Amino acid sequence: MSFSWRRLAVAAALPVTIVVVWWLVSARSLHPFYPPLSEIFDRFATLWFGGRFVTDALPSLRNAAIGFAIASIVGALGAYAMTLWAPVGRMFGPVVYFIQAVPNTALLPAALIVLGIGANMHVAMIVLAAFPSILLNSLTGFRSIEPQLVDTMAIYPAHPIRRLLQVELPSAAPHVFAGMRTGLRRAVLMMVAAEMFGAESGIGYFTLQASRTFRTVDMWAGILLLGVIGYVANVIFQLVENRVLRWYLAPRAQQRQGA
Amino acid sequence: MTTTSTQVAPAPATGTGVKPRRRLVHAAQASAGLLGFALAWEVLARAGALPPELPPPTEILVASFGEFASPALWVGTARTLQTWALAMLLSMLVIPIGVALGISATAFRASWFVVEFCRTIPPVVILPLAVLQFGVTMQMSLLVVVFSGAWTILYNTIYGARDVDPVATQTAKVYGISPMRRLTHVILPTAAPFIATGVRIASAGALLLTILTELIGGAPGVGQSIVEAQQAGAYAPMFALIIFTGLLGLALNYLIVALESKVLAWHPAYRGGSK
Repeated sequence: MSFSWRRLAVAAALPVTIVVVWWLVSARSLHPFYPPLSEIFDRFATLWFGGRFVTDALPSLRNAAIGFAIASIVGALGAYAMTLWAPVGRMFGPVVYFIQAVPNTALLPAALIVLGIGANMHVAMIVLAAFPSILLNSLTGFRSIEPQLVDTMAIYPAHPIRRLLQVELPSAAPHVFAGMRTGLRRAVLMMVAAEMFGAESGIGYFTLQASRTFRTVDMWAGILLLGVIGYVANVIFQLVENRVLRWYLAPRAQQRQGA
Repeated sequence: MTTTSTQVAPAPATGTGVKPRRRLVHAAQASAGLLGFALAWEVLARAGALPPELPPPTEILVASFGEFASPALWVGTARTLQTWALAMLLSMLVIPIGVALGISATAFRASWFVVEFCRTIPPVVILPLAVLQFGVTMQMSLLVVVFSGAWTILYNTIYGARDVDPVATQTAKVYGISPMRRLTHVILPTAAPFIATGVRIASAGALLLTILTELIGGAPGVGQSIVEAQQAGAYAPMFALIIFTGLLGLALNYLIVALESKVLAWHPAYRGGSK
């Protein structure tokens, strides 16, 4: 797909209109809950381009990154182990399904009393929120290897590691990534939720506290930052996915254009 | 542009076609996992190896009988389910908008950034605003839950409506089929499984967020009961309630999947049961 100015104009029209209308309508706003957008932008810049980003936002992001990384490793490896030994798979399958079904936010009070306030609780909850979808999707991936490949492997026995790296992992990768995409959304959600529920710092805590003390400009600046974080996390993930799965996605995109 | 990030995943079919004897073995293995987990917890808790905040499963079981007998649990459950159901209904109102945005290429291009952005915002960020605007009410919960569900369903609907096979569209055009009939006979049947997937994903998210608004915002419901149990130091009842929400999640998922396979029974992806 080639770049064109017309396309860009069409894509940018709505977002730009929304910001402009918000800016104009709120410009003279005296409503305490909906301050002028210009003030929100000002506060956003002073808060998050200053020291507060390091003290409040970075620890949140670090927790989310660590939690998501652990969840991805546990999810993918767990799924591999469960396909290697079928009885193990049948043993842990229901447990994972149940964990997936429990609305994981309901576990926040339990996590708070067992692990206390702090990074441990946050990372643990982020892992818990993210790993089930990664594991279940990876499981589908490892189980959906093409029958021809399975037959070929049976005829030409290869070293298990080589089999894993050259056949099983590439076959499962698109599913692993699909699970990670859902997992990332859950992880970011839990990062904010855990900070709103039990924390003494962090952007989620900051934003809710601002709302409770009627510092509405601060609250809006927090909401804006959290929205941007969610979006940027997704974009970065998408870029990584496109890069890693290039061999898988490129032929499909071509097929689509040809159609 | 972006890669497609939705897949139509028909609800998993229950395992049929396995020999009865083997099924028994599989069922035994499946329950061994859960039972083993509970047993290990029980032994460790009784031996004093776990902190007192983690009571043994038998105590949780006893506590859950007490909870089930108390009307407070059922009042709370009714409130939570009411919020969930209302939010789901409100979220599904975006389906026609999604179809419209998916049909027109220009409308799709004009809206995708906004949809993409709002879909990736963690929906809890609305909570501070919702608390400010509505206080501790069901409207507060609804605003947060609908903000999550509506974007999820909208996104899936748009991609479903765009997935129509170009050959089918052209065939319909060549045969002079009216736009209305094209909508009901070509576009909606294609989009339906995508919409169903969106609804299923939104439903799980809706329960999760409903409980979260009860935990943080203090809206009445099961989530509030969990926090009350926690603050009273009643740990066994607290775990009983958490497990209860898990069962609630399973039940709702089962309900949605059953509805889905009923409504979409005609669709090739759902026909014929298990592979």
